[in-house]
Amino acid sequence: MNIIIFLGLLILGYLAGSSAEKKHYRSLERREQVTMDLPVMTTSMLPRGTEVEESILVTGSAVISIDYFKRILSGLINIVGGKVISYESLVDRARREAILRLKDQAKECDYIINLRIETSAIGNSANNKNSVGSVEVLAFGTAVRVNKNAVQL
Amino acid sequence: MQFNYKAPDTSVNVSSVSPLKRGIQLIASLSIAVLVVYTLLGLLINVLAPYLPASLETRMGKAILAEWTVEEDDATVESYQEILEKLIGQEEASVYEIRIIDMDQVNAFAIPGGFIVFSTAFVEAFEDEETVAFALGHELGHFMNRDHIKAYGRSMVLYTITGLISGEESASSTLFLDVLSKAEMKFSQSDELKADAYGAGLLYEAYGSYNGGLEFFDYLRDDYSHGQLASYFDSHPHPEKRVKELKKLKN
Repeated sequence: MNIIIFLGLLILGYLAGSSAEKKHYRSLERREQVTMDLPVMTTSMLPRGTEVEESILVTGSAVISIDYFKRILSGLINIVGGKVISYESLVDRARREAILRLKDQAKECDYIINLRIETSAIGNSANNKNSVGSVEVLAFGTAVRVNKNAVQL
Repeated sequence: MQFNYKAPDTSVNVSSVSPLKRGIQLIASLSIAVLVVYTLLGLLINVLAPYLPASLETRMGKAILAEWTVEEDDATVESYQEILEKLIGQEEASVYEIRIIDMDQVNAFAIPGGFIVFSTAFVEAFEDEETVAFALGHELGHFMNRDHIKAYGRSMVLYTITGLISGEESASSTLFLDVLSKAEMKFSQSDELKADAYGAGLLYEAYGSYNGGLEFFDYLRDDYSHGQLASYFDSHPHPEKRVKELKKLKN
């Protein structure tokens, strides 16, 4: 009986998880195209002579959970070692989603500078070093609006 | 400073390997590895079992017996001992000790140290001497084949391997425990058939018929709630199969 529940969860996890992932990736790509004209940079300095009209702290946070199939897959990879491919897309999606949410907050601005990204594991498994359940990515930076007439970047 | 507008490169951070393919590969290779180790250790125990010192065996048996409530039913023990003597002679029968334990399930088993254990439900269910003789003969068969030691040894290996895997990730160990316990059941089913044959042989020598065995299985068949398919993975073969094997002997 246990094995039936286990396999059922595994199949459900795989089907639901990969469908959600595909959908999310399509949404990410579309939104990235739309917001491409708002530059996000890690630099903390603006070029000399830039006249900043407004600067605000912007944050974008995304929490994404791993599906049951990928959780089991990561357990198996933990035994033999190697690239934990099941977490790669999880972290990638969370990071890109967080940056997009960050950009959503800075619609009126010209740049986002000083971008920083933090990652943490949350949920039931947060205290368990052997497994990751949900991952939170927090992106934060400074959105600036400049006087475009004063400087040419 | 010129900022280049560019969509993020998505191919770098996520591997192109399909998780499903990788998962199937891993499950298949790990299952094979675990089965190979389990079978090798199981075979090693089969080789080592005959060399286990008798004193250690008795200690093991007493430790196992301590987990149940042993009933003080001297009359039954004495009558079973007499049947045992009929089967293998007084001298050889003195090596074995019969115990009755408090249990609702009809059951009998051989445990290390020469203990043949019957449940109270068994004593109530079977009054016929030949049926009891067959059950005794079956358990003697386990002693002859050293199954009692092998089975305990194999379950120790089983739990050690599962323990090692569950240390890493408990959910994936469910899968391996299932693969291994099915392997264990196959081991155990072939042991049961051999013990049946041994018991039937003793029964025939002492009573001149196989009726005790057939009656025993008749009872089990009535009591059996599983279908043929479910019993495939049980520790004992389906009663029908056991009757067939017994009839083969009879002919």
